Amino acid sequence: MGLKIDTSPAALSRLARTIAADATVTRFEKLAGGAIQENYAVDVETAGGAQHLVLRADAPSGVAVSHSRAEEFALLQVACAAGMTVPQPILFCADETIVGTPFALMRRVAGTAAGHVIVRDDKWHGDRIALAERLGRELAILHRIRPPHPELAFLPVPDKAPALVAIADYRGFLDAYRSPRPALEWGLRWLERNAPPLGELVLCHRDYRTGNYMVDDTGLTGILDWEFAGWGDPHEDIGWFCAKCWRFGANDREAGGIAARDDFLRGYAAASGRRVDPAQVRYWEAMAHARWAVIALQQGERHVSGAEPSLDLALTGRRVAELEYELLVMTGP
Amino acid sequence: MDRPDAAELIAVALARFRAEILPVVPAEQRLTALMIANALGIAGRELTAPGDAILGETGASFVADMRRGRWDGDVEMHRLLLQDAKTRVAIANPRYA
Repeated sequence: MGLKIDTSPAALSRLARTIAADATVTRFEKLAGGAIQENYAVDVETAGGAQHLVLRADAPSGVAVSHSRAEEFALLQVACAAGMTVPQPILFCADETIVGTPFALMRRVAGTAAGHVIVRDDKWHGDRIALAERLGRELAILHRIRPPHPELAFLPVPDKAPALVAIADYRGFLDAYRSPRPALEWGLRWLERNAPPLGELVLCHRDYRTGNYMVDDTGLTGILDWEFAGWGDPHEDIGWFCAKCWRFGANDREAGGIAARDDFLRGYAAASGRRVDPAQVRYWEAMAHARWAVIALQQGERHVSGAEPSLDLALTGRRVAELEYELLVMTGP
Repeated sequence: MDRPDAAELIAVALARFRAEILPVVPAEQRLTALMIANALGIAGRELTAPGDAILGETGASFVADMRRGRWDGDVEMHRLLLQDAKTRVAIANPRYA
């Protein structure tokens, strides 16, 4: 749990000085979205000009499974250095006396990340294929990063098959959950029996999907939300991107609701030396539904338990039915 | 039982909400209004769904058996699970395809 962020004039003044001695904050506005972090648009004036930034700090009801702000910042720096299109990292500040909690600052990226807008808006028509290829290429660049990495020593290197690690996590959650989930148990058993062995490990984003990248009318402007990244099977990221549950209703466009699977994979292949195994992608698409089902149960539980009464969380909890349904369809005997 | 009952109240309130309120909600509240309609729709369908259980007893020993592989490749178990899931999807998201 993080401290509530201090947004008093004194705090903003201290914040400005972390950027430059002569800086003043001219805008400080909470951004919508982000259930786990608090994001703020921060505009700063210095002698060198205006800067349009984003501040990220922990929300009071932080989730243990995501990284600390410092670790997330390190991941952002590594991704940026590798040549990915990400918000440019500015600084990380561990000093809690500035705004009451550690925070990261990065350059603000233009456009929208709203999944249901991106898949529906015909403005992207024709550019959709280029966008899907680009997203494939970006992911391949990320997957060039292998363990060990000097700036990512905090990431555990799996010594078991990543799929089995995930399945054990989800079963652990289910053991503590209020009631059994037979459909999810079926799916997890199938996933266990069909689990790919421990193979090559790459840096996975772990939430690479429509909704987590920004686009404007020029195309991709930034890949967001590095809080879950870690070493894993590259097919996990491809499967998550192509999973039916992440197409925002545009189910015919299998790559993130924006284009055909082949468009995305073509971009990936162009930047990767690796052959993508379609069967492995399908496996991780099934796993994606299991993972999202567990998350949906967790989010529903935050509402039901009274920890965070919320219409959004309540409705997310009820998505578990379609996720379990899809998981069953994908894991039939 | 006093009428209209819970399901009937939800149905008429939702219909009125959709007809009269949803069309004039300011853009910034539209998503909230849609979520409210969605939640009421789920609640109404749940109240009017038949109560027959498709799956039988599914407690801790069921879970243990499933994890041990008792029903690996079992067509009938899969069929039952799928039927139960379809019923729940019809309540939670009838437009799911």
